[in-house]
Amino acid sequence: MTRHTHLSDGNLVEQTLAGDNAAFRALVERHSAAVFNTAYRLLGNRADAADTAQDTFLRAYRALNTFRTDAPLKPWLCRIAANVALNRLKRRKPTVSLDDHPAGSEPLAIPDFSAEPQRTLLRAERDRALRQAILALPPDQRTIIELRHFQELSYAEIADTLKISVANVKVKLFRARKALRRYLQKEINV
Amino acid sequence: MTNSSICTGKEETIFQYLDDELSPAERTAFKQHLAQCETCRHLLAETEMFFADFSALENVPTPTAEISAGVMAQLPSRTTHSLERWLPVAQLTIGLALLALSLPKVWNGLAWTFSLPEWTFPAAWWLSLVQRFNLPAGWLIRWSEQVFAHTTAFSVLNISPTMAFTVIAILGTAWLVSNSLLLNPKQSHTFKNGGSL
Repeated sequence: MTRHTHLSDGNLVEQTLAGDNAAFRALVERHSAAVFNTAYRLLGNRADAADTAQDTFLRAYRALNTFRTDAPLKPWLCRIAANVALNRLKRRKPTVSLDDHPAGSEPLAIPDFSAEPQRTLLRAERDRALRQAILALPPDQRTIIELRHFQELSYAEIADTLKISVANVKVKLFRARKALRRYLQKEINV
Repeated sequence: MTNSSICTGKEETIFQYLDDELSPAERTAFKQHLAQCETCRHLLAETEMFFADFSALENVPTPTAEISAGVMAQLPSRTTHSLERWLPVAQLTIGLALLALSLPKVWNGLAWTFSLPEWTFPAAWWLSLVQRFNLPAGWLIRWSEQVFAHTTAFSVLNISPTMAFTVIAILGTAWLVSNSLLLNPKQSHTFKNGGSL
């Protein structure tokens, strides 16, 4: 436990801006799970997700003077992570269909669940199927699912983040959900 | 209405209903429809379960130490950023001071004596200095100085030079204040610049 542990995100941002890099380290440690998991859901690869998380924090550090300290930091970081991951996805080769193993992904990491073997097995199976289905979507649809379901942004906020129209968000989100639902129904008979 | 073929198009409405993106009128109409339609109630329940899967998705273990070490090894110097942080405040202070210096000259009627070579109107220095408003502002000021210096009667605009420069000074102050404090895009915490960050 460091002297920064009990400080708020806003205080840590202010200390970082004042030149205290240890305060920024505390921010990285506090939010690395959210940022890494955002990247991992979009990329399906631990090495890429770790690189993306590092890139996200470095970009956030450079842009920290634009951040309002009374606003929540985590959503801001996760949105940067989603954008960095989306840029990375666009540079990748096209993904494959829902029936194949998505390009650039690796066997998906399974969280360590507690006891209750039956529940654990079912939960793990649903998680695996959902991650696999998300990774098989085209990058733009994948990002929209991330922003809507995991970052909980409104349609207008998604449109603003991705620089597309709200109508376009609705269309892409609808298609993505239809594809996901179809895949999940086939995989685990939801 | 219980025929599923009639309700086929309702799937998108159900998504938007759960996303809280329907207008109040659409929401009310859809609730009324739900009350009568078993098919849509069933589809709504299924969709709620589908959405619950997203919320239930567990985080995978995070390599925090690796990420933290990688970030800290690449951090650039913070010094320039501290300067950047105070720059808008310094700009605003200097700008307001220069404008304040302009006003006595305007109110004393000295604007009447301005001519093109006389670049003593501090607002012109300031507006050129920040390189935002400099071209149009520079042209405007130089043009108005020429007009005011060489026109004995302000028949063109039918206003006094004092009034004209007062208006310019007030507009300049309003512009500086709004641009430095209210409209500066750097003050926004929202992620407006998409993938460029």
